Amino acid sequence: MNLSVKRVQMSDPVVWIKKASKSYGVLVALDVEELKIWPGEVLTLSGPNGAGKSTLLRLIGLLEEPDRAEMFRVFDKNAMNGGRPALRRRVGMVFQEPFLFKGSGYENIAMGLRWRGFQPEEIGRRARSLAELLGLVDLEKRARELSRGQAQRLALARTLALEPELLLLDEPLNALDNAIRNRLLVDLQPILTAGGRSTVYVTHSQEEAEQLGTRKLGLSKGTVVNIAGRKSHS
Amino acid sequence: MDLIWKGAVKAIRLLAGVDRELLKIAWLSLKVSATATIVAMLIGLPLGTWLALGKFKGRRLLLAIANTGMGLPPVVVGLTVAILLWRTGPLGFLGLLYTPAAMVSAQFFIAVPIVTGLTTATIQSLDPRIRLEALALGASIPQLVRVLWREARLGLLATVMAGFGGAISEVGAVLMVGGNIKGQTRVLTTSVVTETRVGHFDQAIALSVILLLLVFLTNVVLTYLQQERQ
Repeated sequence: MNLSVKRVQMSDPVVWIKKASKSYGVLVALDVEELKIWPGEVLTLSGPNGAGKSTLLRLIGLLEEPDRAEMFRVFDKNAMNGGRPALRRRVGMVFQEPFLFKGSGYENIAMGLRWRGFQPEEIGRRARSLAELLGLVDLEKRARELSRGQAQRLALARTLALEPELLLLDEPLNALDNAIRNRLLVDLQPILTAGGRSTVYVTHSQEEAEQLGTRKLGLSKGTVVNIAGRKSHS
Repeated sequence: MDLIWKGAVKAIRLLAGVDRELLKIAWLSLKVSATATIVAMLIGLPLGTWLALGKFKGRRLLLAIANTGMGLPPVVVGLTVAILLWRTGPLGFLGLLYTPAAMVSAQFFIAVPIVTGLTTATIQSLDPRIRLEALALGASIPQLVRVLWREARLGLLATVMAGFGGAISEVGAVLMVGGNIKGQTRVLTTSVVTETRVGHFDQAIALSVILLLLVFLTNVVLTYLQQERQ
Protein backbone atom coordinates (compact mmCIF):
# COMPACT_ATOMS: atom_id res chain seq x y z
CA MET A 1 0.00 0.00 0.00
CA ASN A 2 1.30 3.40 -0.89
CA LEU A 3 1.41 5.97 1.81
CA SER A 4 0.22 9.31 0.56
CA VAL A 5 3.16 11.61 1.00
CA LYS A 6 3.17 15.27 0.20
CA ARG A 7 6.51 16.73 1.05
CA VAL A 8 6.14 20.47 1.07
CA GLN A 9 9.80 21.07 0.38
CA MET A 10 12.89 18.97 0.15
CA SER A 11 14.99 19.91 3.13
CA ASP A 12 16.36 18.38 6.28
CA PRO A 13 13.77 16.62 8.37
CA VAL A 14 12.52 18.44 11.47
CA VAL A 15 12.72 15.17 13.38
CA TRP A 16 14.92 12.21 12.50
CA ILE A 17 14.80 9.12 14.63
CA LYS A 18 16.70 5.97 13.78
CA LYS A 19 16.83 2.65 15.63
CA ALA A 20 15.32 4.09 18.80
CA SER A 21 13.60 2.18 21.55
CA LYS A 22 11.98 2.86 24.88
CA SER A 23 10.98 0.35 27.52
CA TYR A 24 9.23 0.58 30.86
CA GLY A 25 10.49 -2.31 32.89
CA VAL A 26 10.03 -5.42 30.73
CA LEU A 27 7.48 -3.75 28.47
CA VAL A 28 8.93 -2.54 25.16
CA ALA A 29 6.75 0.51 24.56
CA LEU A 30 8.46 1.69 21.39
CA ASP A 31 10.91 0.30 18.86
CA VAL A 32 11.26 2.55 15.83
CA GLU A 33 13.43 1.56 12.88
CA GLU A 34 13.37 4.98 11.29
CA LEU A 35 11.05 7.96 11.35
CA LYS A 36 11.45 11.32 9.67
CA ILE A 37 9.11 14.25 10.00
CA TRP A 38 9.40 16.91 7.34
CA PRO A 39 8.79 20.67 7.50
CA GLY A 40 5.24 21.66 6.79
CA GLU A 41 3.71 18.21 6.98
CA VAL A 42 0.89 16.91 9.15
CA LEU A 43 1.71 13.37 10.13
CA THR A 44 -1.32 11.61 11.51
CA LEU A 45 -0.58 8.74 13.83
CA SER A 46 -3.04 6.01 14.65
CA GLY A 47 -2.98 2.68 16.41
CA PRO A 48 -4.66 0.72 19.17
CA ASN A 49 -4.36 1.65 22.82
CA GLY A 50 -0.92 0.81 24.13
CA ALA A 51 0.65 0.93 20.67
CA GLY A 52 3.20 3.52 21.78
CA LYS A 53 1.70 6.69 20.29
CA SER A 54 1.91 8.78 23.45
CA THR A 55 5.40 7.40 24.18
CA LEU A 56 6.55 8.46 20.72
CA LEU A 57 5.14 11.94 21.27
CA ARG A 58 6.88 12.26 24.63
CA LEU A 59 10.19 11.25 23.05
CA ILE A 60 9.81 13.70 20.15
CA GLY A 61 8.71 16.36 22.65
CA LEU A 62 11.95 15.72 24.56
CA LEU A 63 10.08 14.92 27.75
CA GLU A 64 11.67 11.50 27.94
CA GLU A 65 14.83 10.00 26.54
CA PRO A 66 14.97 6.84 24.48
CA ASP A 67 16.85 3.95 26.06
CA ARG A 68 18.91 3.74 22.91
CA ALA A 69 18.97 5.53 19.56
CA GLU A 70 21.39 5.48 16.66
CA MET A 71 20.02 8.86 15.63
CA PHE A 72 17.75 11.20 17.52
CA ARG A 73 17.70 14.61 15.95
CA VAL A 74 15.11 17.28 16.65
CA PHE A 75 15.40 20.35 14.44
CA ASP A 76 19.09 20.46 13.62
CA LYS A 77 20.37 19.32 16.97
CA ASN A 78 21.27 15.91 18.25
CA ALA A 79 18.87 15.75 21.19
CA MET A 80 20.96 13.08 22.84
CA ASN A 81 23.73 15.60 23.42
CA GLY A 82 21.92 17.96 25.76
CA GLY A 83 20.32 21.35 25.17
CA ARG A 84 16.88 19.83 25.59
CA PRO A 85 15.27 22.75 27.49
CA ALA A 86 16.00 25.16 24.64
CA LEU A 87 14.75 22.66 22.05
CA ARG A 88 11.62 21.99 24.10
CA ARG A 89 10.62 25.63 23.75
CA ARG A 90 10.34 25.16 19.99
CA VAL A 91 7.93 22.25 20.43
CA GLY A 92 4.31 22.46 21.55
CA MET A 93 2.49 19.47 22.96
CA VAL A 94 -1.12 18.82 23.88
CA PHE A 95 -1.54 15.69 25.98
CA GLN A 96 -4.39 13.25 25.69
CA GLU A 97 -5.35 14.07 29.29
CA PRO A 98 -4.12 17.63 29.69
CA PHE A 99 -3.42 19.08 33.12
CA LEU A 100 -4.71 22.56 33.80
CA PHE A 101 -2.85 24.60 36.40
CA LYS A 102 -4.41 26.50 39.27
CA GLY A 103 -5.84 29.81 38.18
CA SER A 104 -7.99 31.06 35.35
CA GLY A 105 -8.05 30.00 31.74
CA TYR A 106 -6.18 33.20 30.89
CA GLU A 107 -3.45 32.41 33.41
CA ASN A 108 -3.03 28.97 31.90
CA ILE A 109 -2.62 30.44 28.41
CA ALA A 110 -0.27 33.13 29.71
CA MET A 111 1.97 30.74 31.63
CA GLY A 112 4.23 29.52 28.83
CA LEU A 113 4.32 32.98 27.26
CA ARG A 114 5.39 34.62 30.51
CA TRP A 115 8.16 32.07 30.90
CA ARG A 116 9.41 33.14 27.49
CA GLY A 117 9.34 36.80 28.47
CA PHE A 118 6.37 37.95 26.42
CA GLN A 119 4.80 41.28 27.36
CA PRO A 120 1.25 41.44 28.77
CA GLU A 121 -0.10 43.15 25.66
CA GLU A 122 1.07 40.36 23.35
CA ILE A 123 -0.10 37.71 25.80
CA GLY A 124 -3.53 39.32 25.89
CA ARG A 125 -3.70 39.56 22.11
CA ARG A 126 -2.82 35.90 21.59
CA ALA A 127 -5.16 34.76 24.35
CA ARG A 128 -8.13 36.69 22.94
CA SER A 129 -7.46 35.55 19.40
CA LEU A 130 -7.25 31.86 20.38
CA ALA A 131 -10.25 32.12 22.68
CA GLU A 132 -12.28 33.36 19.72
CA LEU A 133 -10.94 30.65 17.42
CA LEU A 134 -11.55 27.82 19.87
CA GLY A 135 -14.85 29.10 21.27
CA LEU A 136 -13.64 29.75 24.80
CA VAL A 137 -16.18 32.14 26.22
CA ASP A 138 -14.87 33.11 29.64
CA LEU A 139 -11.11 33.11 30.11
CA GLU A 140 -11.44 34.47 33.66
CA LYS A 141 -13.22 31.34 34.81
CA ARG A 142 -11.11 29.01 36.93
CA ALA A 143 -9.58 26.45 34.61
CA ARG A 144 -10.49 23.50 36.81
CA GLU A 145 -14.15 24.42 36.71
CA LEU A 146 -14.30 23.95 32.93
CA SER A 147 -16.06 21.03 31.31
CA ARG A 148 -13.90 18.35 29.69
CA GLY A 149 -14.47 19.77 26.23
CA GLN A 150 -13.68 23.32 27.34
CA ALA A 151 -10.59 22.08 29.21
CA GLN A 152 -9.35 20.33 26.09
CA ARG A 153 -9.82 23.50 24.04
CA LEU A 154 -8.03 25.54 26.71
CA ALA A 155 -5.09 23.12 26.60
CA LEU A 156 -5.00 23.52 22.84
CA ALA A 157 -5.12 27.32 23.14
CA ARG A 158 -2.33 27.24 25.72
CA THR A 159 -0.06 25.34 23.32
CA LEU A 160 -1.01 27.18 20.13
CA ALA A 161 -0.33 30.50 21.87
CA LEU A 162 3.35 29.54 21.97
CA GLU A 163 3.43 29.33 18.13
CA PRO A 164 5.78 26.35 18.19
CA GLU A 165 7.69 25.13 15.15
CA LEU A 166 6.68 21.54 15.86
CA LEU A 167 3.25 20.65 17.17
CA LEU A 168 2.47 17.35 18.88
CA LEU A 169 -1.23 16.78 19.41
CA ASP A 170 -2.44 13.68 21.22
CA GLU A 171 -6.14 13.28 20.37
CA PRO A 172 -6.78 16.98 20.96
CA LEU A 173 -10.44 16.93 19.91
CA ASN A 174 -11.66 13.62 21.32
CA ALA A 175 -13.73 15.20 24.09
CA LEU A 176 -15.62 17.59 21.83
CA ASP A 177 -19.10 17.16 20.44
CA ASN A 178 -19.37 16.67 16.68
CA ALA A 179 -20.50 20.18 15.85
CA ILE A 180 -17.58 21.86 17.57
CA ARG A 181 -15.12 19.22 16.40
CA ASN A 182 -16.15 19.59 12.74
CA ARG A 183 -15.82 23.36 12.95
CA LEU A 184 -12.41 23.13 14.58
CA LEU A 185 -11.16 20.63 12.01
CA VAL A 186 -11.67 23.30 9.39
CA ASP A 187 -10.26 26.13 11.51
CA LEU A 188 -7.24 24.19 12.71
CA GLN A 189 -6.13 22.97 9.31
CA PRO A 190 -4.15 26.09 8.30
CA ILE A 191 -2.72 26.44 11.80
CA LEU A 192 -1.12 23.01 11.75
CA THR A 193 1.25 23.99 8.96
CA ALA A 194 1.41 27.77 9.40
CA GLY A 195 4.85 29.18 8.74
CA GLY A 196 6.28 25.80 7.78
CA ARG A 197 5.22 24.24 11.07
CA SER A 198 5.15 20.44 11.28
CA THR A 199 2.49 18.58 13.22
CA VAL A 200 2.18 15.07 14.55
CA TYR A 201 -1.50 14.43 15.17
CA VAL A 202 -2.60 11.33 17.05
CA THR A 203 -6.14 10.30 16.32
CA HIS A 204 -8.41 7.28 16.26
CA SER A 205 -10.69 9.09 13.81
CA GLN A 206 -10.31 8.18 10.15
CA GLU A 207 -12.17 11.36 9.30
CA GLU A 208 -9.65 13.55 11.14
CA ALA A 209 -6.75 11.66 9.58
CA GLU A 210 -8.18 12.10 6.09
CA GLN A 211 -9.02 15.74 6.56
CA LEU A 212 -5.86 16.90 8.28
CA GLY A 213 -3.04 14.54 7.40
CA THR A 214 -0.53 14.93 4.60
CA ARG A 215 0.91 11.57 5.62
CA LYS A 216 -0.46 8.74 7.69
CA LEU A 217 1.38 6.30 9.89
CA GLY A 218 0.21 3.50 12.09
CA LEU A 219 1.79 2.20 15.27
CA SER A 220 1.31 -1.30 16.54
CA LYS A 221 2.99 -2.78 19.60
CA GLY A 222 5.57 -0.02 19.57
CA THR A 223 6.64 -0.33 15.95
CA VAL A 224 5.81 1.88 13.00
CA VAL A 225 3.68 0.11 10.42
CA ASN A 226 1.77 1.53 7.49
CA ILE A 227 -2.00 1.57 7.43
CA ALA A 228 -2.11 -1.70 5.58
CA GLY A 229 -0.04 -3.41 8.20
CA ARG A 230 3.25 -3.83 6.37
CA LYS A 231 6.37 -2.64 8.15
CA SER A 232 7.51 0.53 6.46
CA HIS A 233 10.29 3.06 6.67
CA SER A 234 9.01 6.58 6.71
CA MET B 1 -8.54 19.56 87.62
CA ASP B 2 -8.25 22.23 90.29
CA LEU B 3 -4.59 22.66 89.41
CA ILE B 4 -5.37 23.02 85.69
CA TRP B 5 -8.07 25.57 86.48
CA LYS B 6 -5.67 27.57 88.66
CA GLY B 7 -3.11 27.40 85.89
CA ALA B 8 -5.60 28.67 83.30
CA VAL B 9 -6.66 31.54 85.57
CA LYS B 10 -3.01 32.42 86.18
CA ALA B 11 -2.38 32.42 82.41
CA ILE B 12 -5.21 34.91 81.91
CA ARG B 13 -3.85 37.11 84.76
CA LEU B 14 -0.34 37.06 83.33
CA LEU B 15 -1.58 37.99 79.86
CA ALA B 16 -4.03 40.60 81.09
CA GLY B 17 -1.41 42.09 83.38
CA VAL B 18 1.04 42.28 80.48
CA ASP B 19 3.77 40.70 82.58
CA ARG B 20 7.01 42.05 81.14
CA GLU B 21 9.06 38.97 81.86
CA LEU B 22 6.42 36.74 80.30
CA LEU B 23 6.27 38.91 77.21
CA LYS B 24 10.05 38.75 76.90
CA ILE B 25 10.02 34.94 77.20
CA ALA B 26 7.15 34.56 74.72
CA TRP B 27 8.76 36.95 72.25
CA LEU B 28 12.10 35.13 72.47
CA SER B 29 10.33 31.77 71.97
CA LEU B 30 8.63 33.07 68.83
CA LYS B 31 11.77 34.75 67.48
CA VAL B 32 14.01 31.71 67.98
CA SER B 33 11.52 29.19 66.59
CA ALA B 34 10.45 31.38 63.69
CA THR B 35 14.07 32.00 62.70
CA ALA B 36 14.91 28.31 62.92
CA THR B 37 11.83 27.42 60.87
CA ILE B 38 12.51 30.02 58.19
CA VAL B 39 16.11 28.83 57.78
CA ALA B 40 14.86 25.22 57.76
CA MET B 41 12.41 26.18 55.00
CA LEU B 42 15.10 27.92 52.95
CA ILE B 43 17.13 24.74 52.97
CA GLY B 44 14.50 22.05 53.41
CA LEU B 45 12.07 23.10 50.66
CA PRO B 46 14.65 23.12 47.83
CA LEU B 47 16.41 20.05 49.23
CA GLY B 48 13.17 18.12 49.56
CA THR B 49 12.14 19.14 46.04
CA TRP B 50 15.49 18.02 44.66
CA LEU B 51 15.15 14.67 46.41
CA ALA B 52 11.64 14.30 45.00
CA LEU B 53 12.51 15.11 41.40
CA GLY B 54 16.10 14.04 41.07
CA LYS B 55 17.35 10.88 39.47
CA PHE B 56 20.83 10.19 40.80
CA LYS B 57 22.76 7.51 42.59
CA GLY B 58 22.34 7.63 46.34
CA ARG B 59 19.02 9.44 46.18
CA ARG B 60 17.19 6.83 48.20
CA LEU B 61 19.94 6.79 50.81
CA LEU B 62 19.73 10.57 51.19
CA LEU B 63 15.98 10.29 51.49
CA ALA B 64 16.34 7.63 54.18
CA ILE B 65 18.69 9.95 56.06
CA ALA B 66 16.19 12.81 55.84
CA ASN B 67 13.38 10.56 57.02
CA THR B 68 15.56 9.30 59.89
CA GLY B 69 16.19 12.91 60.83
CA MET B 70 12.47 13.35 61.43
CA GLY B 71 12.79 10.99 64.37
CA LEU B 72 16.12 12.33 65.59
CA PRO B 73 16.23 12.45 69.40
CA PRO B 74 16.39 16.13 70.37
CA VAL B 75 18.90 15.47 73.15
CA VAL B 76 21.27 14.03 70.56
CA VAL B 77 20.89 17.24 68.55
CA GLY B 78 21.45 19.31 71.67
CA LEU B 79 24.53 17.38 72.67
CA THR B 80 26.02 17.59 69.19
CA VAL B 81 25.44 21.33 68.88
CA ALA B 82 26.77 21.89 72.41
CA ILE B 83 29.96 19.92 71.63
CA LEU B 84 30.47 21.97 68.48
CA LEU B 85 29.92 25.27 70.22
CA TRP B 86 31.61 24.91 73.59
CA ARG B 87 34.85 26.78 74.10
CA THR B 88 37.11 23.87 73.18
CA GLY B 89 34.89 22.75 70.32
CA PRO B 90 35.53 23.37 66.61
CA LEU B 91 33.14 26.33 66.56
CA GLY B 92 33.91 27.54 70.05
CA PHE B 93 35.62 30.66 68.66
CA LEU B 94 32.18 31.93 67.66
CA GLY B 95 31.18 32.23 71.31
CA LEU B 96 27.63 31.17 70.59
CA LEU B 97 26.99 28.69 73.39
CA TYR B 98 24.23 29.79 75.79
CA THR B 99 22.93 32.37 73.33
CA PRO B 100 19.70 32.52 71.29
CA ALA B 101 21.80 31.80 68.19
CA ALA B 102 22.76 28.41 69.63
CA MET B 103 19.11 27.72 70.32
CA VAL B 104 18.22 28.63 66.73
CA SER B 105 20.89 26.17 65.53
CA ALA B 106 19.52 23.35 67.66
CA GLN B 107 15.94 23.99 66.58
CA PHE B 108 17.05 24.28 62.97
CA PHE B 109 18.54 20.77 63.08
CA ILE B 110 15.29 19.49 64.48
CA ALA B 111 13.08 21.29 61.95
CA VAL B 112 15.07 20.80 58.73
CA PRO B 113 14.63 17.00 58.44
CA ILE B 114 10.89 17.46 59.05
CA VAL B 115 10.61 20.10 56.33
CA THR B 116 12.82 18.13 53.94
CA GLY B 117 11.11 14.77 54.40
CA LEU B 118 7.58 16.14 54.20
CA THR B 119 8.43 18.32 51.19
CA THR B 120 9.73 15.27 49.35
CA ALA B 121 6.58 13.33 50.14
CA THR B 122 4.36 16.25 49.15
CA ILE B 123 6.06 16.83 45.80
CA GLN B 124 6.13 13.11 45.02
CA SER B 125 2.42 12.84 45.70
CA LEU B 126 1.55 15.51 43.11
CA ASP B 127 -0.04 14.49 39.83
CA PRO B 128 2.91 13.46 37.58
CA ARG B 129 1.25 15.30 34.69
CA ILE B 130 2.14 18.62 36.33
CA ARG B 131 5.83 18.13 35.69
CA LEU B 132 5.34 16.90 32.12
CA GLU B 133 2.90 19.69 31.30
CA ALA B 134 5.19 22.38 32.70
CA LEU B 135 8.21 21.01 30.83
CA ALA B 136 6.14 20.75 27.64
CA LEU B 137 5.26 24.44 28.01
CA GLY B 138 8.97 25.20 28.16
CA ALA B 139 9.52 25.70 31.89
CA SER B 140 13.10 26.03 33.03
CA ILE B 141 14.03 24.22 36.24
CA PRO B 142 13.33 27.25 38.50
CA GLN B 143 10.02 27.83 36.69
CA LEU B 144 9.13 24.16 37.09
CA VAL B 145 9.88 24.29 40.81
CA ARG B 146 7.72 27.41 41.22
CA VAL B 147 4.82 25.67 39.50
CA LEU B 148 5.23 22.57 41.65
CA TRP B 149 5.34 24.62 44.84
CA ARG B 150 2.27 26.52 43.79
CA GLU B 151 0.38 23.32 43.07
CA ALA B 152 1.62 21.81 46.34
CA ARG B 153 0.87 24.87 48.45
CA LEU B 154 -1.54 23.06 50.78
CA GLY B 155 0.94 20.34 51.59
CA LEU B 156 3.94 22.64 51.83
CA LEU B 157 2.26 24.98 54.30
CA ALA B 158 1.37 21.96 56.41
CA THR B 159 5.05 21.03 56.20
CA VAL B 160 6.03 24.47 57.51
CA MET B 161 3.53 24.13 60.35
CA ALA B 162 5.01 20.76 61.25
CA GLY B 163 8.54 22.18 61.17
CA PHE B 164 7.54 25.13 63.36
CA GLY B 165 5.74 22.80 65.75
CA GLY B 166 8.83 20.63 66.05
CA ALA B 167 10.99 23.69 66.73
CA ILE B 168 8.86 25.55 69.26
CA SER B 169 7.99 22.46 71.27
CA GLU B 170 11.63 21.50 71.70
CA VAL B 171 13.00 21.63 75.25
CA GLY B 172 15.93 19.20 75.70
CA ALA B 173 18.22 20.52 73.00
CA VAL B 174 17.32 24.13 73.81
CA LEU B 175 18.17 23.61 77.49
CA MET B 176 21.54 22.10 76.62
CA VAL B 177 22.68 24.83 74.24
CA GLY B 178 20.77 27.78 75.68
CA GLY B 179 21.23 27.19 79.38
CA ASN B 180 17.80 28.61 80.24
CA ILE B 181 19.38 31.85 81.50
CA LYS B 182 16.80 34.22 82.91
CA GLY B 183 16.39 37.30 80.75
CA GLN B 184 18.65 35.93 78.01
CA THR B 185 17.88 32.41 76.82
CA ARG B 186 14.79 31.42 78.76
CA VAL B 187 11.93 30.43 76.49
CA LEU B 188 8.44 29.09 77.20
CA THR B 189 9.36 25.39 77.09
CA THR B 190 12.40 25.75 79.35
CA SER B 191 10.38 27.99 81.70
CA VAL B 192 7.77 25.24 82.05
CA VAL B 193 10.53 22.81 83.01
CA THR B 194 12.00 25.26 85.54
CA GLU B 195 8.68 26.08 87.19
CA THR B 196 7.72 22.40 87.37
CA ARG B 197 11.05 21.51 89.01
CA VAL B 198 10.50 24.04 91.79
CA GLY B 199 6.88 22.97 92.30
CA HIS B 200 5.21 26.06 90.83
CA PHE B 201 2.66 23.95 88.96
CA ASP B 202 0.13 26.71 88.44
CA GLN B 203 2.85 28.86 86.85
CA ALA B 204 3.98 25.90 84.72
CA ILE B 205 0.42 25.29 83.54
CA ALA B 206 -0.03 28.99 82.82
CA LEU B 207 3.11 29.00 80.70
CA SER B 208 1.92 25.86 78.90
CA VAL B 209 -1.41 27.52 78.11
CA ILE B 210 0.43 30.54 76.75
CA LEU B 211 2.73 28.32 74.68
CA LEU B 212 -0.29 26.53 73.24
CA LEU B 213 -1.90 29.88 72.48
CA LEU B 214 1.24 31.05 70.69
CA VAL B 215 1.40 27.90 68.59
CA PHE B 216 -2.33 28.14 67.88
CA LEU B 217 -2.16 31.77 66.74
CA THR B 218 0.82 31.06 64.49
CA ASN B 219 -1.01 28.15 62.94
CA VAL B 220 -4.15 30.24 62.48
CA VAL B 221 -2.12 32.57 60.27
CA LEU B 222 -0.49 29.71 58.36
CA THR B 223 -3.80 27.88 57.98
CA TYR B 224 -5.41 31.04 56.65
CA LEU B 225 -2.62 31.27 54.05
CA GLN B 226 -3.00 27.60 53.25
CA GLN B 227 -6.74 27.70 52.77
CA GLU B 228 -6.86 31.01 50.96
CA ARG B 229 -8.86 30.74 47.74
CA GLN B 230 -9.58 27.06 48.33
